[in-house]
Amino acid sequence: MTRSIYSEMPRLLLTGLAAGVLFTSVSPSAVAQTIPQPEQVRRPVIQREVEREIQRVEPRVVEQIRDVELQIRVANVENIELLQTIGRYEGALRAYRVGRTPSDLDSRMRDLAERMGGSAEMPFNTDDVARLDQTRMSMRNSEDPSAVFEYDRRTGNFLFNAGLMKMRDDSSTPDLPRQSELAELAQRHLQEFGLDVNTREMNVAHLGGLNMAIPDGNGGSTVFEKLKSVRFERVMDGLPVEGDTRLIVQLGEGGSLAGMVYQWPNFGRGQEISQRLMADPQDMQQQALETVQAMAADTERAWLTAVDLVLYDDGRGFMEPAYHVVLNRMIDLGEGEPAMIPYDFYLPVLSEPRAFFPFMEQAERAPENGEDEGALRNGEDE
Amino acid sequence: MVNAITDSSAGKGTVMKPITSTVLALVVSMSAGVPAMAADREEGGYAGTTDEGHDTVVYNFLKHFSYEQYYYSYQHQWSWNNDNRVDAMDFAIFAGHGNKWLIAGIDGSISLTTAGSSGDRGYGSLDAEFIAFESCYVVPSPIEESNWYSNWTSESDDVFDGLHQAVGFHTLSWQSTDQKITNYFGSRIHSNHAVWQSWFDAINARGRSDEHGSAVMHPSADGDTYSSFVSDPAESHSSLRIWYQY
Repeated sequence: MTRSIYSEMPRLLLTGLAAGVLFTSVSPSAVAQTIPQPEQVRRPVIQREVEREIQRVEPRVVEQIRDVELQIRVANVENIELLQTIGRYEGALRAYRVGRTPSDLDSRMRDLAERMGGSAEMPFNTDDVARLDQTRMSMRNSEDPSAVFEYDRRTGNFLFNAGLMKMRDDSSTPDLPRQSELAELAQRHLQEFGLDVNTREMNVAHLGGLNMAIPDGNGGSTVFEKLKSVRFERVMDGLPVEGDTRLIVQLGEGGSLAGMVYQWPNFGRGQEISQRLMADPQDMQQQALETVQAMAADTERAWLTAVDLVLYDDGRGFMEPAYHVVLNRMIDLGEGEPAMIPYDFYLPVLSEPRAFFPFMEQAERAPENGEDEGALRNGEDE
Repeated sequence: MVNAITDSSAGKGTVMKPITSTVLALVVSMSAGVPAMAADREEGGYAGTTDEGHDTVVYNFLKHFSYEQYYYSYQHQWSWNNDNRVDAMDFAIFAGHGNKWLIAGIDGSISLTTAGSSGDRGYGSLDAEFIAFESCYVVPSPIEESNWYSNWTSESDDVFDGLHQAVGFHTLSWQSTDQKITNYFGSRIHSNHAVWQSWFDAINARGRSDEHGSAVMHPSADGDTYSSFVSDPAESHSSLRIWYQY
C-alpha cells in the first residue's frame, strides 16, 4: 500500500488555501523578505511577519498557516523536503515481540560461558552469577576484571569478552586476520558455538578493530594492533534493523575468538500493522518538523541526511517500525572551527508504540543549576 | 554446584528490585560474590545542554550510585573551581557537545588543554580518578591526531594531574544511543568491572557502528576498576597510552 499525505487532495487544497491567504495578504516587500534565500533571511523577521498575518486571517485557516509558518521557519535546514517521505509506506509493516526465552536459559548461558571461556583460556566463575540490572546477569573471571560473559534474561542477548589484560604490553597481536577474512571467520565461530543466525538477514556493517598506542618520542605515535572486529547488522522485511540488534565478533591471534556481542533476538513472524494503529502521517511530519526546527536553532548550518524507515529494536523485547531522522549540524563551540555535531531521533510509526524509544526516557530528576560556585570540597582522595 | 545470583545493581541509595521466582530458585546465597566498594566513592555528573537530553545521559550513569553532584555544566566546574566540583569526585561524567579536547557547557566551552591552569590545577590533584565524556570527538586518537597526548599531559596547564583514565569518543556520538551507553556503562562500573574496557563494551553493545571509543590513561592504570585501582600517577608525568576502537 502506498500512502502519502501529499496524495490527499483535501489536504493539498487546504495547504494551498493557507499559502494563498498568507502570500496574498502580505505586502510584496514582505514576501520578498520572507520567501527567498535562507542565508539572507533572519528567522525572527520571518516569524514576526507570519505571526502578524496569522492574527489577521480567518480562524478556519489558522492551522494551515501555522503549517506554512513552520515550513518557512525551518527553511534554513537543507534537505528539509526529506520529511515529506514520512508516511509513504511501500508495503505492509510488521511489529515484533521477542519470543519467550527458554526456561533453562540460565543453564544454557552458563554452558555457553564455559565453552567460550574455555576456548579463550579465560574461565568464568559460572557458580557466581551477578545481577547487573533488572534483566542482565554477568559472570566473571577471577583474575581479569575486563573478562566477562553477560546475558539478558529477557531477550537471550549476550556479550562475551575474553579479557584484555593480557594485551597490555607494547606489541601487536601476532597473526591477526586480514580484513577480507573477518566475516567468514566470524561465521565459523557462530557455527562452532551453535549460534543459528539466518545469513540472509545479515549485512556486514563495519570492519574494524582495537588498537593501543603510545608516544613515539618524536611527536608521533607507535601503534599496536590488538584485535580485529566485524559487525553485522540485520535486515528484516526489507528494512534495516536499528536499535540494539547487532552481531559483533572480535578476533585475535590466528583468528581466535576474542569477544562477541550477540544481540540477535528471535522475533518470530511478527504481526502486520493495520492502518488504524498507525500514527497520522501529518502528525508525524509535524512532530519531526518541530524537533528538527528546535535542534537546528543556533547552528551555523543544518541539513537532513536521512529520514529512513527502519525497524527499531528497543532491546527490551519489542521491535517496531519507525523513522530514523538524522540532522547534521555545524555548531560554533566558541573555539576553533565549528564542529559537526549530529542529532538523531526515532519517530514511531505506531500511534501507541509498545517499543521503548530513546525519546521516551527522561531523567527522574533534573540537574541542579551549575552556576553555584560554592565550596563543596570533598578534600579527600579515596 | 552452587549457583549464586547476586544483585550488584543495588548500590548506595538504590533499591533492590524484587527477585522473580525463577531467579529465586537459583539463589542460594544473596551475599556471596557481591562486588563491594573498597571505600565510599563520589560520583558527579555534568550536563552540557538543557534541551537535548544530556541530563538523561548523565543521570543514566549516576543512577547506579548514590552520587554527590548532578549539575548543568559550567566552566568553573572544570577550571578554577574544579577542586569543588569535578576534582572532588572519584568518577565524573560529562554529556554534551564536544570537539577535540573541548567540551561545551551552559556558559560556553572549556578547553581541556588549558583547564588545569588555575590554582586548582588539573584533575586528580585532589580526588578524581576517572572521567567519561559522552560527547563527540573529545578524546582524539592517532587516527585524527598523531600527537594525541601532549594536550593531556605535557604542559603545566594540562588536566592529567593524577587522573587515571579519561574515556570518550574520537568519533561522533549519537543522541539516540548516548543514554543507553551511559546506562550500560554505569551498571558495569558499579559492579567493578574494568573501567575503559567497560566503556568499550558499552559502545559495542549500545552504540551505532560509526561510534568508536577512545581511552587515555597512565599505563599503570590500565587495569583499574572502580573499587580497585593503582596509586595516583604523579602530577608531572608525561606518560600516557591510548586504547581506541576503529
